[in-house]
Amino acid sequence: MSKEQLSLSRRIENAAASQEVENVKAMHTYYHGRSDATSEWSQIWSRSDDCSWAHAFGRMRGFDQVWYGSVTSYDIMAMQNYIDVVDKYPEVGGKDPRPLSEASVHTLVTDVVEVAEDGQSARASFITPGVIHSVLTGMEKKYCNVLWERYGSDFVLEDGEWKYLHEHVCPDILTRLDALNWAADDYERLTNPDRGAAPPPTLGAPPVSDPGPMHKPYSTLQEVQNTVPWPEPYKTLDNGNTYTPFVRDKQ
Amino acid sequence: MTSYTHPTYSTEQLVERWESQREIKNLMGKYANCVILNREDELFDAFWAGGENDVCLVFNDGYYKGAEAVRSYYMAERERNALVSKLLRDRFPEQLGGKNDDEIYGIGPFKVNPMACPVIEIAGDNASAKGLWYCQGAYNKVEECGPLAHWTWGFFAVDFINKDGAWRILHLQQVNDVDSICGMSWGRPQKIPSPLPEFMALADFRYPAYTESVTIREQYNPRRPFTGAPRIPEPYETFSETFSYGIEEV
Amino acid sequence: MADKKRYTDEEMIARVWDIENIKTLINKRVYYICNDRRSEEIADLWVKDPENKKTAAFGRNWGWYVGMDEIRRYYVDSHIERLRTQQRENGAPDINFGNLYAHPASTGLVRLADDGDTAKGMWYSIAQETIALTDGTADARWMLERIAVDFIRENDNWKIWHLMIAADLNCEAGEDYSEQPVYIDWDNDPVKREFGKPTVECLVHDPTFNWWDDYPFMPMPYATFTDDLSYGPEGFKPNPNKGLAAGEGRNYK
Repeated sequence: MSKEQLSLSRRIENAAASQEVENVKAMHTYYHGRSDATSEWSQIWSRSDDCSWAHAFGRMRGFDQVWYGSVTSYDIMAMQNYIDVVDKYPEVGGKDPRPLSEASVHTLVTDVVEVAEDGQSARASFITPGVIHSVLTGMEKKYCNVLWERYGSDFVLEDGEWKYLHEHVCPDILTRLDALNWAADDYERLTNPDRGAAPPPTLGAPPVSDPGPMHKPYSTLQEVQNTVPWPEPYKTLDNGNTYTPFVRDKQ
Repeated sequence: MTSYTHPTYSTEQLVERWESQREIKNLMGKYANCVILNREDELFDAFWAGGENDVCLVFNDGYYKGAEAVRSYYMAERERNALVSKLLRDRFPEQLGGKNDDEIYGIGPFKVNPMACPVIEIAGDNASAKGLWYCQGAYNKVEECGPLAHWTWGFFAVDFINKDGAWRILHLQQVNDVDSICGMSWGRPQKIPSPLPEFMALADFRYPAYTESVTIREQYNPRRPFTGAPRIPEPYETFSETFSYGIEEV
Repeated sequence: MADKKRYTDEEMIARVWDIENIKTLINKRVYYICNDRRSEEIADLWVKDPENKKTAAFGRNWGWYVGMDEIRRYYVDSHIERLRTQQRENGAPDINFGNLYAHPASTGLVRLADDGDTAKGMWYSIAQETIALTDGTADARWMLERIAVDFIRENDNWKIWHLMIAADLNCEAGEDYSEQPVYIDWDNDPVKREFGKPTVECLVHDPTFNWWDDYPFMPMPYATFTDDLSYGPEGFKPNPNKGLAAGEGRNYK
């Protein structure tokens, strides 16, 4: 069905929905910038068993597993970091340890957004040229890592609110502001065994239902990866149009 | 308080115009993704207006005009990608030696053109549109010195036409202010690493000649006169009334 | 969170275009900055209504310039004065010779008030400024900053009313940011020096603690604009539990 065959009301609601899901996605960025996983997964995520969050390490499925990996485990890392930092910088005492861990800012550009003809879901892909920075660290060195990724995101309408259902994060470029050359350095690692391995694209690897690797960062010998193809116009969220295959019949 | 009656357009036209600008953003997002996937050879047929139109692809130092010229540039990009992959297979037989040309195609180059800050104007007659994007990009095309990452700071400035209900590229300017080796300042002289023997074949690779080699936009250097952004799209009724991001041949 | 209000089709598509036009407005500002057309930016993109001009604000980490006259004094007049000094010192033929500016905005989050009269937005910019030096090179510098904006409708056009640009860090291109001293040297920070002495002086975002201070705060749905929502000085509420400042607390031993 072409969009002109939809009712005018549906087309208007879908236009508004397209903007709403961009806002949901941006809220993720700003919550994540404060390492505020609690607000993110409490406020903008579906609590459905179908929800999923995937990264290089694999895919978490179902809200309980997503919460454990994205909130519980993430907070544990923040608390451990805080113990290192407070030892060096007493002024962090009394402050929330989570934003002190780092500001992880995954900016959003190159959006391709499609809202389903039935108006009940939306799908979007993004390129995210991001930065992850922190000032007070246990190593007594500030840092700003550059992390460029691709996102594939599915959203659903629940009780009049747009919520995340699936997120698939694909790390591509990991480097440091602004002293490294991510391509030449990788070639150096390939041709000089003394250089050691590349840094991991994530800090940890929580329990997953679908094991990884699901996407590998760029390297000279990496084959092309189209892990999160851009969304095409579609009728309804199903296994032909999703960033996470549904493992059971969708009711 | 919001006025809900638009002075120019009906509610249906407002919806159609909003959908048009969303489709144009989607189109440029798909274009950028195709480049990441090293599928430049698909760009012309997938996104351009086609041979019967006055298509034009513009870079800092020249432009391709006409369907044959634009398509030949994209096909050359594919040829270069394929050449890089073969050179890497020669260099790393242990990892890639057992794979054929199709299986290794795309290994090596990685080019990201993030599209940001769209300013899009749909013509009053809905037959054409203009868009300007900022692009802070990064790429590694693999050069004679081997893999080498660059930062870019530049623009995509695009004219579109509405062809049978689908938006298509008519003119595209991809112009950079900065194309700088990552890890070096673009405010200082840069030292390009020495060539490596395994990539020397790239020295013989040539892109098709521009329709005209001409400085469209001088790359940044500390002695460059101040150079602003490409002209921002302005509201217009029909394409003949506005400016073009294409180049008129002299 | 404001209760979700229902709209007619006509209202809803009007609101969709309001949001789109607000995004376009902030994107246009990006290109005005590339062109270094600050005076034109004020004329074209900022408030014009006399009452709104009085309460307009341009803020950075260290406070706000309030009122369009003060904003112009900082944002246009002082800038041109600096450029003339640079031109003279560099022996350049024109102002801005060898300079380059780019502050692209990404990650837009726009909230249109239920009443449709105002809007709030947030963006992030991975930016750069490159300033030509006397020795023929240039200081090329990455700048990371969060942008928070209040918009107000004037004669059916959206205008910038309060603008807050909260810098996170800056780093010379080609240099390793991690080699900078941990504590920010505010006295020699090029962004702070450029900002000068604002109308309202107040440290609103200290990136020493990353985003712990939660300022500027994320825009959330709202019914109608009130001062406590503002990204101008009237909307800034210092954290009562601010604890110690950067570098404090070392005397306990």
